[in-house]
Amino acid sequence: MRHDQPSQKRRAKDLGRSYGIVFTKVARRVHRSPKVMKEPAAGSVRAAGRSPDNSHERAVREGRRRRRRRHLSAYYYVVPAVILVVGMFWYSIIVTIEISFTNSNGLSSPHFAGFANYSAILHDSALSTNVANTLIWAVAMVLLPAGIGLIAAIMVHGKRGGDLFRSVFYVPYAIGFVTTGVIWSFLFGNNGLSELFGALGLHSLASVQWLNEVPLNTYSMIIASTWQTMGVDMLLFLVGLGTIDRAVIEAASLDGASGWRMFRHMTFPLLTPMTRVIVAISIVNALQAFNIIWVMTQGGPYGSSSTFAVWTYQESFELFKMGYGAAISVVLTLFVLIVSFGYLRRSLKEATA
Amino acid sequence: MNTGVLLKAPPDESSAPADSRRKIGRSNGRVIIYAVLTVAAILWVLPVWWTVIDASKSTSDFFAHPFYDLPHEFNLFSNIATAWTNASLGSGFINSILYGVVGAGASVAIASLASYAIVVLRIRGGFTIFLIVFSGTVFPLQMYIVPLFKMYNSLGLYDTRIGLFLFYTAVSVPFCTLVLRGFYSTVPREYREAALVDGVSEARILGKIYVPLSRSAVLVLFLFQFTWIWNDLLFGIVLSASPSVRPVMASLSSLLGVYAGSSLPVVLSGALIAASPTLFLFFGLRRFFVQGLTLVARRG
Repeated sequence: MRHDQPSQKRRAKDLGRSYGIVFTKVARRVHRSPKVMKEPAAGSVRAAGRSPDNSHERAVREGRRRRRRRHLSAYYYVVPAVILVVGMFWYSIIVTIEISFTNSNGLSSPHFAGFANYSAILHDSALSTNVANTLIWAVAMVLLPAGIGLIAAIMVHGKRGGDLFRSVFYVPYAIGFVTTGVIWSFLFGNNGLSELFGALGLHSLASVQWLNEVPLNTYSMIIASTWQTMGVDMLLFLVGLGTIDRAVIEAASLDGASGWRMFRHMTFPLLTPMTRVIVAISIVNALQAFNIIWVMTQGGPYGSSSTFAVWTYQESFELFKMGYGAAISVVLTLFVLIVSFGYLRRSLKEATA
Repeated sequence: MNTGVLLKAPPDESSAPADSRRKIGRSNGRVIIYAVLTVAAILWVLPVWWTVIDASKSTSDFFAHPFYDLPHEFNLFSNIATAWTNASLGSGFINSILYGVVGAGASVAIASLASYAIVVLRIRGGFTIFLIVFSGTVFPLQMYIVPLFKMYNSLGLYDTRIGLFLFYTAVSVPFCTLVLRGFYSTVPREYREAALVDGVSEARILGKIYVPLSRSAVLVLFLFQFTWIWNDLLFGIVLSASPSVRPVMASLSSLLGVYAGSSLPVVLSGALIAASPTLFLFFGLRRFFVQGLTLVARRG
């Protein structure tokens, strides 16, 4: 892809030169880029029968013209994608950064406020709760769904009946975040699990207000989220396990490796690429956790279970402090970009390869 | 042919008991693994089971008996009817089907065109254009809510189906482009060369050669983007307000707010309605979803 661009530039330069030079250059490049050869060739086929020297020249010129026309029309193909992404997302990013430096509140016309919003974040009493909760989510989403998913994948892998377990663990993912939030709001509510704990004689558990006590409300939502996402992480690890060469594992088992030793020294290191992907996705998703929290507690009570994503939304759309909300989302974005930097660089490297 | 035999250790008297001991150990391990998996599976199924039985209860039944009791009368359909009409979950459901099908379809088509121009037609600056499009997946979605809300208000797109359809299409394009770009670059270029010689237009080459050859990727992308759009809550509540426009998850979330205190069975039946299309898709087309997951994984 990249090495194709200089050759196109060269082709443009060639336009001013005599066709003979162009043609040899084109011919030299044939083995690399068959497309370059084809158009003059097709032109000369059509022009066959006329006087040889004249037709050749005309064919090359015609081919060049057609190539240029096709080249231009090829840009139409990317127009919708570029307009949508630039018009919606690049525009939004620039505007968000711009708004974050104003006192926009949706009522009076906004004024430039410098770094006032950013310093206000630092002095906001809600900052520590939001940072703590966001970090708890990030760590928990790696340890629980991804961790349990890994264990489940290893247990299920290659077992008879594994398919049944796979489907069962996968159901909550098919159910979706919001529905998961609704189901667990019911279970953690007054007519939910506490009735069950009461009936089982666990009275200390029966009186717990799962979604109202701090920090229990965050942990309760993490349980719901784990229930929902573990299945996908398991499936991803199973995909990873499927790519491990059976012969390597068999060789290790002939050498006496089994159980924990096999996992620690063979399976887990071989899973590293997949593990890295899952950890990165889990952290990035956790930093943006919104749906389940919004459905189950709306960040409450009194902001005690809020995260950065919920905080941004509330400042912008409930308190209409859009400048402040925008500044919070810029800070969140910085965190996300830092975490995903290494991961993105790798995926881009793969995309260019 | 004989290497397998040669590599095996010669039969040995002492190895037999050790072997059977290991076998016993392994079968014990197996029993433990199945026991753990069964317990976990029960934990994973119970919330769904409780949701189904409590969605089937009448409100009085629900409050009179513990939630884990079986329903005394089967009320599921009247609960569904209440959620569907009174709580406007029905219009949300229809809206989201529309957004999902049109948005996923349009984004796959748009990404298909872009990928074709970038990797097959090899337009100049193609990689830069790819980066521009791909950048749409990099930033957290919270970055977009305030400006989009303002832009939608000033353009008259706020609280319109077209507005939501545009957003859902745009948000799905970058990932589709990433995946299709990869797929189209694996299609042998000779197919296109041959078609061009036969005078076939580029658009037909894309539609008749590239898309069919990448059929599985196209289908998987459609399913994934449909699911994403179906599950979206944030942009549904930011970019729309009226029940005739709101997507299903926004309706479900407000259903929870309105009915949670008075009639939880109605809310739970709403949850079943909202979950049904994706459940149906996941289990009807499970093979494709597993393939799709490998695509997502390859994204890293």
